[in-house]
Amino acid sequence: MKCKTCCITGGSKGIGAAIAEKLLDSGVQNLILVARDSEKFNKTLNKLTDKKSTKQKIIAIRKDISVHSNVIDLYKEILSTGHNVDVLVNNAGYASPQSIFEVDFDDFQRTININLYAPFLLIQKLLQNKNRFSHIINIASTAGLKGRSGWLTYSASKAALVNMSESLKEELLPLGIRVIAVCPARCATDLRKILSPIEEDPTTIMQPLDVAEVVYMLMSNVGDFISDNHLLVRKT
Amino acid sequence: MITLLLLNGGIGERLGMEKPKAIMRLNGVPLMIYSLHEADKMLEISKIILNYPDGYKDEVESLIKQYAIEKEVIYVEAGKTRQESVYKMLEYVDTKTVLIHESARPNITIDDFKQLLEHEYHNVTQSLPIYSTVLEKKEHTDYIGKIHDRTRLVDIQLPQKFLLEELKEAHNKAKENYSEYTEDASLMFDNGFDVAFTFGKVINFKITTKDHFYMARYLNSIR
Repeated sequence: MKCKTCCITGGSKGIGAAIAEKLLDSGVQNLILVARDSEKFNKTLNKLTDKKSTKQKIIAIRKDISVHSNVIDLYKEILSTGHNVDVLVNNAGYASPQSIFEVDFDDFQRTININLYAPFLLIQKLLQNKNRFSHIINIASTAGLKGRSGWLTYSASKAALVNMSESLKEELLPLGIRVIAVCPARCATDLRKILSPIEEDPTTIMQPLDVAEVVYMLMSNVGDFISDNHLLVRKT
Repeated sequence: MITLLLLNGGIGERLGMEKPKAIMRLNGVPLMIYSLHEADKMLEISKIILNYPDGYKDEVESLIKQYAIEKEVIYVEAGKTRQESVYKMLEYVDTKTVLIHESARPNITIDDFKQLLEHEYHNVTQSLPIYSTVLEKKEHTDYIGKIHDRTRLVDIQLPQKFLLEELKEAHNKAKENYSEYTEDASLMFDNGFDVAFTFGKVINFKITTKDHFYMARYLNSIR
């Protein structure tokens, strides 16, 4: 595996935890996992620690990235590990699906903070501090490709993330950094439970590990042949 | 002028919902808001009487405010049955005619209300023809016992229009006889009043199952 060190935000559960698991299985050396402090995060860390070989290292950083100053602390902590982050997976996401009549402005700001500003800051600060990425993978959503009634804050934040990824792809091409937005359709995560107003059988839809396989593919040699600005990932 | 009774009591068990169906989001918008926005366009409607499920008054009131519903809304706690709910709501009506609709049918349009108001009969219910064959099963078995002539049957839908005095009288009679009905055209008819039917639109279906919900979600995203 080309990637020595990978940093994943939103690593406590769902797609983030699945990517972490996939990368450990594939031999990544250092895994930096970022998530809010929670019981779920502890459980995931225990599970991953049981899985890892003696040569592999897992570094947990407990941060709530909805707050600007926490993201600043976060990049400093990442730098202090002494590892160059080869692959950054901006996976942390937040959604509170409400129509324009109901949504609070504060909630919209929180959505943008987590889904757009946090990835932006993390990428910018690491670049400015001479971190050299091989890949930046931003986990967006199909909601970012088409606006949806009732999901306006989430859709808008993910559309911005898709667009930012396109700009970054061009800006960072001369540095040999590959940037791509991955847009999963409905996937069996906690976020999906929030977005779907009625109960659905999670076993019938795409699983986090399916998305993790696609992300891993993007980091592999095959990934070099994917030239799209964003990659739609959907169970057909 | 007329009064609209908007029924919101349904719990949405068949949808696997924990919250009442009326405040369930369809494409992000509470189900009841679809009907209220249509009612807002009807000049003839002077007032809306809305029943709320036990424990949800504040939430329902706050949604009406957030979605800027213009008509005067009166809130009445839902009864144990649909019949009891309507009975309680009738107390607040001060117009000669009432319209009854339910939030679980979000695809209602102003044309449906108008069709009833312009109808020559005072008591009218929307309905649909029966499109499928209807058979009756043999009692206590899974065998077919009887064939029905579907051309003589109608599938009762909402909205409905009734004369207040007659509807009140029918409800009082039903109460005295301890008779329970699942909707008001049956209640009126069974208690001696003529009710006409007129055909509505299939798209104004009631959201009862998950399949209905998915259909409504799709229809409302392309319309």
